[in-house]
Amino acid sequence: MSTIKNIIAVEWKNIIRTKTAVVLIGVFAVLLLFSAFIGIENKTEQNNIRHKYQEEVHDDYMDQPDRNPHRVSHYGYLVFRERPALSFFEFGIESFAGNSIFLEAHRQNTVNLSEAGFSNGMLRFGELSMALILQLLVPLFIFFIGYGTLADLKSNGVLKIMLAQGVSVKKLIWGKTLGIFSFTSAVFIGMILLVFTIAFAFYPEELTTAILMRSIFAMGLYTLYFFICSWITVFISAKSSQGGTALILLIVLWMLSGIILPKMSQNVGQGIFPSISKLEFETNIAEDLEKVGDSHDPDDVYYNTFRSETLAEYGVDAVEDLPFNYAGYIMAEGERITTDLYRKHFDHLIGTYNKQNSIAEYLAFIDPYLMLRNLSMAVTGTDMAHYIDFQRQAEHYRYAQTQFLNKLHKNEIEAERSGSQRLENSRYKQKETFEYKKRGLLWALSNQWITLCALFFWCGLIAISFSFGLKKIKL
Amino acid sequence: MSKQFFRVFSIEHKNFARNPITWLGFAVIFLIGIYAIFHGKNTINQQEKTIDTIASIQEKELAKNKEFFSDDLSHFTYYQFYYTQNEPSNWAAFSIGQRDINNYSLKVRMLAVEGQLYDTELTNPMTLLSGNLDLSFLFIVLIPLLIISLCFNLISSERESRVWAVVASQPYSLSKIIILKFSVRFFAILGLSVVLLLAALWLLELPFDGDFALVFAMILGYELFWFILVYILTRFKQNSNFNAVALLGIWLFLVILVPALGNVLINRYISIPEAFSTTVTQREAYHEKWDMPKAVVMEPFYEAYPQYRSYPIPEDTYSNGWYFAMQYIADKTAQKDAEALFEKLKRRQEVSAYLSYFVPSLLLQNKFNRIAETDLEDHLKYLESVKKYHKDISEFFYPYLFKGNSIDEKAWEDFPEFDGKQLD
Repeated sequence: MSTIKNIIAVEWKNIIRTKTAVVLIGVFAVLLLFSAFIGIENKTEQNNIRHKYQEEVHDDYMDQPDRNPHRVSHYGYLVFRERPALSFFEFGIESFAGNSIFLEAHRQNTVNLSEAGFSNGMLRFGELSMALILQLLVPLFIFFIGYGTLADLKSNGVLKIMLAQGVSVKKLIWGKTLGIFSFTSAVFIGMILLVFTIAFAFYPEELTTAILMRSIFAMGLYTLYFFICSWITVFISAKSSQGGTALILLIVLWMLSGIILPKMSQNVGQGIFPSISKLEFETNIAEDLEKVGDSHDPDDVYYNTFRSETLAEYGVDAVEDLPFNYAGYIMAEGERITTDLYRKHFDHLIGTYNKQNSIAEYLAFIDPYLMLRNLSMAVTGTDMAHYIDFQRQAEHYRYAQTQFLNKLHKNEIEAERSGSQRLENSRYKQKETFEYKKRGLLWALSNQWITLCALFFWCGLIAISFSFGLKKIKL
Repeated sequence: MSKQFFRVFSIEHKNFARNPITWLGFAVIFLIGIYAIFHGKNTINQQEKTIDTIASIQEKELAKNKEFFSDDLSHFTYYQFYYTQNEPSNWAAFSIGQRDINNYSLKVRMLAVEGQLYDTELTNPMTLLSGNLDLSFLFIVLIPLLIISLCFNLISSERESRVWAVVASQPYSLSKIIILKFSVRFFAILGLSVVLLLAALWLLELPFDGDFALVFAMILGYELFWFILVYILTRFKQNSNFNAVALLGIWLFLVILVPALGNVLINRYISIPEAFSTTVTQREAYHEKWDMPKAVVMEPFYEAYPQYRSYPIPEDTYSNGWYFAMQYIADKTAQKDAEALFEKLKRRQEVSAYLSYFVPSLLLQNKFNRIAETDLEDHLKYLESVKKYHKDISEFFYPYLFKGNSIDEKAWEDFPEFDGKQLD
């Protein structure tokens, strides 16, 4: 054990002695703190704006005059999507996700006004976030401080002497990996911890149990990522005869796994599983709807059957004799049908998206960057699953709200004054306003089970390599 | 230039061409390039296919609604969608830009337009996040990496392997030899770029015109910039490993960090709450009118369209003129915010253009997207054209809606057509 401790201690000394490494740490620290500041500021500002307009919309709804219920269902409700608490750290798809959705009867609107739609091409280069620095830049730091760790010992002959003195290869590799890993983690996980502590000290109301769990998992995840990077570095350094070769190989791997593979996997996924345009999506729904029936058409088979069934059920001959307003009743039926169809098509569309994304998930088995990115986005609540979850919750609210109003229409509005009779506005306040139900860590992880398997795969691979692999180093 | 120089050049060229790593690098970039061309072509083809369906959908819907609502114009104008499209330019497949994010096939009804302009296209957000591997990405991001990998150890490796001492003892000027080594690689990369550009010219059916020359000149200049950068750095006589890390750092800085930083700052300092306020204002302005005296409601509409003052608007019941005038008034109320939003978006575009004079990668991207008409500016123009079309349609229907509730068959001949983005 003491050998490993010695190796770690030597490794630390070596890193601190390297001027470039110290400069790099300085640069990264500035970048990290700066992006943390910008991230927190941006998120707070955005949420302030959204809360302001959400409140305005809420007050307008509460203070609305006495209206006909169907007017209210067209007045609808505007929901602004709140940015997740940890989005200051990892932006994920935040900039590409819509931020406001208009909920009304008959129509399922898209979530609109994404940041990306108001940006020129600049954001396609990437967005400066803490996560970007930790995911892409820190591995380069690790490569830089570690590429020569064994290769240089080989080329200058020191390794031979060490091995002759009875240091085991296994311990050497363990020690080197732990040395680089512990140094990197001490610096960078330390910084994350610092930033998170400061952020939650300023905004304690954000720190719920779920967010705490998510933060802890995120830190564990990044720690593991740094370990994988250190391990790959030492492994490649051990296999290389010269430090330079190791460095080039590491950089090529970095380019492939961090820049090219993520882009390509998504582009290929889109190629293999093509998704439809909005126009096609809407046309498909309209076609399906036509097959069911058209409530505006007096000769429509479906709605005529529906009417005669309703009449038979209540034992009357005409809709005027029904104990309720038939207009409200048929609107509810129409809403049920369109909503069922919409949800079916929407689920299908999201299924296609998930298939497209699965390429990047399976690639996480060979690309630790993708493994980290997918999970990091999931635990910070900035992945697609959370965004879709928001849309589904909003849609459920829209449906419930519309049917609530249709029920009012059915039971309280007289058929003769179907379009003009008003109800007291207090009736509309009975329904709760929309509140996004926040999800916990386990829910977030459950959407990423392929990547989660990749995570266990990487842990297993490392464990195996330390128990069996590399007993000898070619000199 | 002596005969000897060309001899050395050809030796260096052989030396360079014999290296398997060189071939690997070029082959990888070439293959990615071909992939990028096809990816761009596919993406834009998909959009064109969608656009191609628009005319028949529009026709079908018009025919159906005309028949269905033949004696009820107000229901017709309430339900009928009018389709527009933002046609891709020839260059769009070369530089997809923001075309995958922005809606290129907006449809609007005769209702308030501000609530309809920002409907998003349905796309996988993960795909948007990853971005497109098109040719512009290859030239801006990947080619510099190839340049770095070919040149970072040009001098240092020979010094490290002690060959340099032998070379230095020869009667040639050292700096000439260095330049020679760089020029061999420069011409090789330029050759690859030309091959890819010609492939794009052929496969994407690009026009061979001034824009093509400009794109070529920019790529040439960009590659020269990177070669000079590498040249200057390698003259510092550091070892190969230092060069590799330093150049990679510069690449990261110029291609990822600075644009990423610029983007964050622009979003922060030119923030656009107007996007939200336009939506909120427009919606509230419209719905509150329902509960106001109709004479008061109509006033802003009459100011713009005094010719409709003479038509009576009953105070206690629905009328077409009143209903569609409210749509106009809702837009009018939100106009200030809508204009402020467009102003700010234009400013974002300007600041980015200004920044690009200091950041070559950004300069190329901005110019490529401009030529390809895939940038924010193009989208704003499209939105303006949709607004104008909406206005044309509204003005087409106003006379009939104010007079009654029907339109004669002959009148349709004058129905306005969407004529696309207007040039300045």
